[in-house]
Amino acid sequence: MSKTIDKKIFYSKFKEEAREHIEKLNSGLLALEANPDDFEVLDEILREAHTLKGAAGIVELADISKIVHKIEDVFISIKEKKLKLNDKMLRVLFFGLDSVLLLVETQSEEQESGVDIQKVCESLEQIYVLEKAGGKKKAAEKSTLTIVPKTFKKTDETIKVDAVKFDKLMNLVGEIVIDQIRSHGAIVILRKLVNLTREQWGVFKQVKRKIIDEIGESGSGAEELGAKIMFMENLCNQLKTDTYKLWRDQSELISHRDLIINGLQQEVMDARMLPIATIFNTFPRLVFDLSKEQEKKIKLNMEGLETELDKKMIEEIRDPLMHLVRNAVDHGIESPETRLATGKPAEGIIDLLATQEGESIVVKIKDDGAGVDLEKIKEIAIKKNHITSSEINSASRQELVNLLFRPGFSTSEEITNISGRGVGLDVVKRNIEELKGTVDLYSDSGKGTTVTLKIPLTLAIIRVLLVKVGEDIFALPTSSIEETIRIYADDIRKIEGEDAIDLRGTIIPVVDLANILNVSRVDGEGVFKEGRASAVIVSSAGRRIGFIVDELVGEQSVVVKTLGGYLKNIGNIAGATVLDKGEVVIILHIPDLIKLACFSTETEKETLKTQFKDSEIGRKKLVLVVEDSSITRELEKDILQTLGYEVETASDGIDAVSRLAERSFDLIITDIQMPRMDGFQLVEYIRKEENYKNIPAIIVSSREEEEDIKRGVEVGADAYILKSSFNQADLHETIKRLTG
Amino acid sequence: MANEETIFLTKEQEREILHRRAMELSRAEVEEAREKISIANFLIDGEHYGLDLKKIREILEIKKITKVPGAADYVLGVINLRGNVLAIIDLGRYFGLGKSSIITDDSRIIVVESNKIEAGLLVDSVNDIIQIEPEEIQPPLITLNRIKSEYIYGEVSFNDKLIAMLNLENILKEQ
Repeated sequence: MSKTIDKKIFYSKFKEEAREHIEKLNSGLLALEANPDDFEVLDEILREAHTLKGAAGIVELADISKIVHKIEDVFISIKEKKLKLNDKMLRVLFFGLDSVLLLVETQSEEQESGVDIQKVCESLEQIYVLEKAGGKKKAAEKSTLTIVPKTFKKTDETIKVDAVKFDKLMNLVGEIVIDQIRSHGAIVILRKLVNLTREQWGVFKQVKRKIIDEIGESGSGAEELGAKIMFMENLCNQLKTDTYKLWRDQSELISHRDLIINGLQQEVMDARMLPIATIFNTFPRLVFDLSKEQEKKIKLNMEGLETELDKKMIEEIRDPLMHLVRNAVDHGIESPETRLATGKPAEGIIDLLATQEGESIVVKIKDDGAGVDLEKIKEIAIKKNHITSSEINSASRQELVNLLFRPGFSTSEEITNISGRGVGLDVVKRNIEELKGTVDLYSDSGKGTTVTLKIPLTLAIIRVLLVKVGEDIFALPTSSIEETIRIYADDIRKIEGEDAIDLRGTIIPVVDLANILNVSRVDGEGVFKEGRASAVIVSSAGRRIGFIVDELVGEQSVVVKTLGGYLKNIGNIAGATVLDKGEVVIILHIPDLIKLACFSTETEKETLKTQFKDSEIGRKKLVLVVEDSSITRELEKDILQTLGYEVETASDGIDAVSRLAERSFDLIITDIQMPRMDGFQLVEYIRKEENYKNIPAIIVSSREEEEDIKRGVEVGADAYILKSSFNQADLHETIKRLTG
Repeated sequence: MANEETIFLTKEQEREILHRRAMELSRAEVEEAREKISIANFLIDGEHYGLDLKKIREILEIKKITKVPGAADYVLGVINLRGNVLAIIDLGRYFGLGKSSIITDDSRIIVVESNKIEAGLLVDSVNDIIQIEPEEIQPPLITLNRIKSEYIYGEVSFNDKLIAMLNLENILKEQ
């Protein structure tokens, strides 16, 4: 079990970024050679070198960091006019950059680079000597300043693709898949045609025989009729053969295309796949830290690390999973004393398992701790009006456990009292449902708790049921639909003031979907036409409800599209799709609708909305990381998340200012050198703004000069951490001190 | 009479001359375009508005709009634009000019994009494309306008009409 974040998982990202920096440095140097007085270019390459050095430092590639540092020094001397760029100097600098590139390509692969670090550094230092000697001193031998290009392992050649482009590609593949499904429908019709023409042929033969029998070979008009019969015979035969041929060829073509399209879909999806290890790998450290802190003994087992998931899914499940693992440590596993007293081994076990089941990925977080305390749940549920005392007695164990997923069920003060769990489970559930997945919690008193997440492999294509509501068609994902039934106006009865029906002995609340969606019907007509309508029984997290609709239109597979940037944040909607005839249909988000339906009055809806907001923001401290290097940014984000903070990122000061306006942050961590607005300016700005001036700010930089540290303090930073000494323990300590 | 060489051009010479001529022509066009900008002039609730043609992707006739439950009241819904979903904004309503626009045969959807956000703007009619010089755009007379200043960045007087230039960036902010 590794005790630190394995920085190697950032290597490929670093490599991508480093290549870009080196490329810019190369072209910048060439531009500078052409125009030595262009200080803008000089500043830019200085920034590039600086960022590259920082990124290398943070992934602990010291050799790269060292060489780039030397290169940066030369740039600074040029800027301070201590040096003047000349051909020889340029050659040495390029030599340095080539060495760095070679190191980047090989070191992150743990290959032998063959770069003599010592020599590279020495030749960079020689620059000053050369300059002092006025170029009289013999320059380093030419031959030593060339890098022999090494052949790298080409196995992991990667290209960066814009995520938007990829989504478009995914979308197009989705369209082809759907078209192919339609083609299969056409084949079925063709097959029927083949049978019909055969039948026709058979009947024709019979009729022909009959006619010949009746009128004989030489009856009146026999010749004319004979010619017509012959013509018809040819026609039928032709039709039969051609239809058969068409069917056979098309079937073959479609089967072949099935293979290609499946392959295409698979490849495009695979290209977006990442192993779940990218998330799991941060947990050993998290569990280690937490268990030390709480004086617990915990063993973490992880299985299925190689299980692959869509990149977007990986990003989306990171937070929920972290929540669940924290919960297992905080509230699942008991202290060694308690465990021993209840006859368990002192060391608790948390299992993290990921497996693929069909079109879904299942992740289980299992602990052998105390399990959920049902009595405590009952107590809180009644206190917070989640359930009435009469309902409590009839509620099943699972129904009670599900209460934990209710928004605002537990607050931080109470968490410490509950021996079970409750921290942000509503948030976890919401996140997972947004991914069209499910969360289940199973708990055995005294024996432990298992949380099971089930999420689809992809979000691109789903099956939907099309329903008519008023004059509009809507799509409901079938994954949340239990069944559809015919419903009569007489079936509806009032139970505690709510409409409900009796479905094979179970009472299920029902609601007109038009009311939830605010869709009006012509002339204020009701949903029941001649006393009849249809109902779609849906369920989410153990809650069942029937949506009454005007008509069921049909079921089909569709490509899920977003509503576009302009309508990004609309609730109750999962997306949209375009049907055969080009008509856009809105895909509804069933878990959201169920929640809406259960809170029928406006005020309750409002409370629900605020509760969501509170539960999302209030629990974790929110940190803003401002850093222009994406690798450093990601690493800092990762470390902070592991420490249990919620993290937002910004790529420079200007970006940070707009983030600040969006949410209220508990802490800002910023780099110094950034485009547009640097870290000093940012901190200075924050200290002047009434709304932000109390937010603690930490500067993390690779600048070690006393002067910079002093300036950081002057502008109002609360702490100054050097990138070279950036580690979790220090950072955590500093943050805790500042945020209290 | 001139000698043969000048009369009978070789294929290469001919091509060269034509090419040069084409270059000159295209250059002239570029120069002209630099001087003037093209503005699409359209009507909303009886008043003239304008948008730089460069910011317009295309102009569509009205097609079937699918309502989006839960969206703001000025969002008429979404349409299918070659397989992608596009939100349609009723500009009259968005500006708070009272009732929703009435869709007629003259109504058009102007497809625009700003900061990677795409949308269709519903207008009562698109009149014409006019050429103006950038200097002709004057700061707006806020008092004369019925709509908020943040949606207008300037005004142009053209053929006795006062055309208010829309600030697309502010209109297309994320919802």
